[in-house]
Amino acid sequence: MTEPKRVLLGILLATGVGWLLLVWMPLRKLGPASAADGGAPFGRAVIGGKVYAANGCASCHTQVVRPPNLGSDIARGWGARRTLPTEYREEHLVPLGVLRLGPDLANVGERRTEPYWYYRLLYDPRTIYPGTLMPSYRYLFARVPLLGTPLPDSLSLSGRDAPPLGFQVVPGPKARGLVAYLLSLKRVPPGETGKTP
Amino acid sequence: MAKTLASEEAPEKASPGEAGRSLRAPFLWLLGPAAVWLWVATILALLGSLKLVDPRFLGAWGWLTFGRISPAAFLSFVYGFSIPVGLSAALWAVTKGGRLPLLGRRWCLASSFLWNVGLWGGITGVLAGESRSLSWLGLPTFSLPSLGLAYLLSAVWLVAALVGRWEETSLASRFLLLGLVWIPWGGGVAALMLHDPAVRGVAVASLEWWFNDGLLYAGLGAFALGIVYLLAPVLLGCPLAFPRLGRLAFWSWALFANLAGTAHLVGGPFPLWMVSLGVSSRFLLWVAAAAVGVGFWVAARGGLAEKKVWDPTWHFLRFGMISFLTAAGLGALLILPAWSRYVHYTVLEEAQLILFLYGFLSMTFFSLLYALLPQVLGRPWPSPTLAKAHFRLSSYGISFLVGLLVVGGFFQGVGLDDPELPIHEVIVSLLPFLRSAAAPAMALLAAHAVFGLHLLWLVVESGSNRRVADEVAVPGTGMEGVRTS
Ligand code: HEC
Repeated sequence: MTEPKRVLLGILLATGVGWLLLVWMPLRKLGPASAADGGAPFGRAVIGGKVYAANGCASCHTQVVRPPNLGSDIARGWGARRTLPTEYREEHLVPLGVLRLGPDLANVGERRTEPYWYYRLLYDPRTIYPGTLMPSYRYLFARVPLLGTPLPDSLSLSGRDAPPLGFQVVPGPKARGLVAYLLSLKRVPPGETGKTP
Repeated sequence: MAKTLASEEAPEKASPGEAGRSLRAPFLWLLGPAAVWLWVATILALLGSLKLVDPRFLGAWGWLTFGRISPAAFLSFVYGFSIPVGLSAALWAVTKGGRLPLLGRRWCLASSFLWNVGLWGGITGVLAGESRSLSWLGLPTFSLPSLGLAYLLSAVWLVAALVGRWEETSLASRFLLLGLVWIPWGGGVAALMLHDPAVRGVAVASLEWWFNDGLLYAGLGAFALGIVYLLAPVLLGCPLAFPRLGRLAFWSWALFANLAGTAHLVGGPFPLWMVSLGVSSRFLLWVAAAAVGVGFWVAARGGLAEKKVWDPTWHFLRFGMISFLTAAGLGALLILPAWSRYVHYTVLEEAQLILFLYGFLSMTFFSLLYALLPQVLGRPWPSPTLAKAHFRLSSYGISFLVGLLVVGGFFQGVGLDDPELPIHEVIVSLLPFLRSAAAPAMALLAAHAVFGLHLLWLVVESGSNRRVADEVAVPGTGMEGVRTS
């Protein structure tokens, strides 16, 4: 074999080693269980997961609880134990995240259980956390005519944000999906006591 | 070693000639859009930074939300600017600095056309909310076929030419080959696997990071190191020192770049061996980087003593090398187990990334462009002052940006580690640094504007004077860039 071909082969092999160790092995060992085991998640929360990804919530939020020797995550109440591979076992979306400009969300559904709270947060985070860095996601909401009584999850807004007379602001389908997803974030490993995902 | 250019350099007066002129179009097709993408990336990054100054800035528009423009900025930088410049470096190397003819010329044009169409679609898709948020894999599905095809169209015959015109001792060819081959290998596998419904669980995250670090180090980093080996002999008059060490560094780089990704997953849901593998690979990457660095400085000390004129190629290259060594060192330091709890998930890690992307990659790429374009276009850069302004603005911009993020990240890390301190206060302590970062971001925008204008000037001038240029311009000395008089 000539020298350049050897180099070429070497490069392919070096890359292959990385793929084998970091992709193939974890997929075999930590990947989805057998098809009989429930399979991939589905439903509104999955749509919400896509909204979470598409809007880059992961540029400020992580979803991983580190063990006590590697950070204060547990002491902060972000989870009762470190995140385990089984908690992500069936998921396509694994938004572990890279940067914490906000709290970890691995178990946010455990801490905040009220959908309306999330809607208010997403519509205007500053009503909940004055001066926060989190941007508003009001483009996920819709302004619809008010017919009779307001819809159950219409936002009660005042001041500059108040909709014109005869209108109300309600979460759009994406906001609803996103909140369903956030509420579903209770990463308890299967087999443990507590709510199963 | 690295005689790629020097060996063919014999006839001093040889201007680009026929072959060189036929390269004008391919290079401009690669580099013109790259300059535009650099602009796009910088504007998006600046907008992102302004959004951290006040999150309500342009807040009503979903397509400009922070979580979309910040990945879009990184993606445009990597796919719009870095990869085309890396391909130009390979093109430059296989044509021996524009002296040998180019066989796949038409393919090359088709390739850059397809690439840019795919990328415009992709970045628009990210802004429109089509991304799966997978860092460097974040481009939407529909843009991938055209990007993949475009890459293959130029890479296949570049690899063939590189292998066909192989030079035993050239480390530049090795690094360029690594970059050319890794990107379709890694990218293809990653894209296919991510669209396989059976790929679920934490392997998605390790796949993501295998690709991220592979793309950064074995793809783009290899391109930039190839450029270092390509330019150094011409600038310094001698190849880098210790070629055997360089070869060893090359192989370590090729291997450990593929294993370093899991270092980002410290504390994550992975078995210990995976994380340890990543951490130790980061260290070995640093060792490999240091080996390249030693060869560079030893050669520079010997070769540069008499150089008096201000040469942009050299200044950008030197800045690039300093950033390279610092970024590699920082990369290894940050993942030390003792530190990790203070620095993980902070902007310190972002600082390291930015140092690598902007400090090493972009500065090395500029160095190549300052050397290459006068040769391809048969004219020197019109204004040394603009080149100097470009250098000053970008070097200050990058240094301040990285410095702010390093110090800010330190505050953030110590704050995050204290469970009594509410997140809000942690972020408040970080805010002054994030907000001040808008100033260096502005400087970078100005730097890239200066570069863009200068490039435009050069292209227009060379276009209007193409005839005259052959007689007057560049007395074909190696890869001399701007001639300061
Ligand atoms: C620019 C960074 C940023 C982005 C982007 C961002 N957030 Fe936040 N988020 C924050 C900050 C900061 C806080 C904490 C508020 C505070 O204390 O100031 C927060 C708080 C939260 C909380 C409350 C957590 C708790 O423990 O009470 C939730 C839920 C949340 N964000 C969800 C989201 C979602 C969903 C998205 C994407 C649509 C998102 N965030 C995007 C910065 C961000």
